[in-house]
Amino acid sequence: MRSGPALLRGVVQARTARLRRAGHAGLLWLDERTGIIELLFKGLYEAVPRRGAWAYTLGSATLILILNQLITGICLTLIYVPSTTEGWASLDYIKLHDPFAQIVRGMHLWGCYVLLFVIGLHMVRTFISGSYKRPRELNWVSGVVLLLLVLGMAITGAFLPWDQAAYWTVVVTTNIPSYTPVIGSAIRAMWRGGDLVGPLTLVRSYGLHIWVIPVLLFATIGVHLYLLRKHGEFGSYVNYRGAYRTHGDEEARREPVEVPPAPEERELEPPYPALPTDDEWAAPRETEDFYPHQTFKDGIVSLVLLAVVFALAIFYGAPLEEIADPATVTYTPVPEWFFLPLDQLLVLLPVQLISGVLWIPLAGVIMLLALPFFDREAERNPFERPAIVVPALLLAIFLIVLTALGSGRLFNL
Amino acid sequence: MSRRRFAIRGTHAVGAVVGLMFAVPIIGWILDPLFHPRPLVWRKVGDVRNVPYEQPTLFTVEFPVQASWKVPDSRYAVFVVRHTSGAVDAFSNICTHMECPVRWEPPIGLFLCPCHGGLYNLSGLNVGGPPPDPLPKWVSRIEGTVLFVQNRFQESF
Repeated sequence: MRSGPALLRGVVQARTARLRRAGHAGLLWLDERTGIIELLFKGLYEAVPRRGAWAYTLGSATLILILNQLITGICLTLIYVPSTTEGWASLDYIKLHDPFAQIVRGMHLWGCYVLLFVIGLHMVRTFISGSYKRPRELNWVSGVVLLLLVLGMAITGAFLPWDQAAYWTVVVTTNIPSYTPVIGSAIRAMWRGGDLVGPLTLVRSYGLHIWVIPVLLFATIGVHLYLLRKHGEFGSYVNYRGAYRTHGDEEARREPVEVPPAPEERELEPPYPALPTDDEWAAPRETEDFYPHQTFKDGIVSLVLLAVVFALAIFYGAPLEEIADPATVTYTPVPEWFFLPLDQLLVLLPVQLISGVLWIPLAGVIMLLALPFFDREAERNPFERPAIVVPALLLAIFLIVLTALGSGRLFNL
Repeated sequence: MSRRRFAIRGTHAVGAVVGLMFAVPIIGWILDPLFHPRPLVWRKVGDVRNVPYEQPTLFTVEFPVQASWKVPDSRYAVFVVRHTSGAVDAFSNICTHMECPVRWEPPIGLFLCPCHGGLYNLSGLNVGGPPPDPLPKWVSRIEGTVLFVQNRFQESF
């Protein structure tokens, strides 16, 4: 049987001949100069696991929601002025007089909230299916970097409307690094552009939000997608159940395991997995073409999520409170919901441990980054690796409890 | 319909609906300025008795220029020409060719556009260069002897 790349070449030749017969001269002209047909076929007809495919829609949903942020964000730069005097006024103008722009702003806000939620689900799915294991450790690491960059986008974006909510989010957020030992107040002054929050704080947050972080974000998305396509889709435990021995003594496990042949209707098989970690987890049992089977499921999930974003944008829009007023004595600042656990830590930490607001999240990030290098067993069944799943569950419960306590405190639930 | 055909149709349909959800608000927003004309205001120019006959005299007025959030008004030029007939014209400095700022050139007795050499006479009529239309006049009225102008032209170009 021919190996992956040779098989792919054969299929590309066959399909190119078919295109020539069908008279697609323009496509062939383009292909001679760019090699686009092979690229397209590689992209469209990658083999993906058939079972559990709905669980694998979360990555593409994340990408679509990030593209929603990109498109609506670019539109918003066409009307928003990064200024402490005109920024709020420009958003107030669209709230009062420009209903379509208000929908776009609503899609940007609610898109962010749904995006953060879906990223959480995507990470949970990846964690449960053990998809961060060799050779895909860097898929997970780049994913953690993407999470941090998206959180950076969310918080710098929350600064920009310069209403009361934005202003006090700026004040509290930029105050957090001031608890760094020794250089804390210097870090705060560098972030704010001075001791107090002012025009420099706004304009540099704007620069970070529309330029610095997006460049890093899209570069990292490129890395994440490249690694995804390089290693192929392994699927999770359900794709292996029944196909291979998952239990047995060491001797039995070392016996060569026969990989099932590709189904008859499959014309090409990608070279996946590129580096089998273990015969037992070499390739999922049943696969089908990425297009149209997975794209259809991806599309349905993305459509539902975008429809939710669209509906929230139309019916709730994006709120804009009164313009920032440092002199207020009646306004109660409330953090963005995704920062509630951190906000509750600020309430709970005793005064001697205030700096915990820095090192507790830092420890969390380090744990996330270290996960694939710590959990190196080939086993992917979540019920077979309690040493990893149970602590993660406890940490998740810790975050949920902090969020619940914070919500109860702020919203009198 | 086969499972594969169904998925192909479904992928395309989903893509179309997603595209529509982006297109509606964004296109609506792009078209929005067409439905928001600038607010029209009257501004006082000055007393025409102080303007010499048959000689363009420059005044400036401040107008809101667009429907937008609150920003300071912009300065616009008004060349007031008081004809011996008694008529008073309030010309703008906006050339009808490419909207460059025209100036009055006393040595030649004409309005000159510095960009591409458009020329207008004292009545604002074209006497040379590429401009397709006469120099625009602001909509104006005289109350007693005081001239007022509105932030629109008598004939749009």
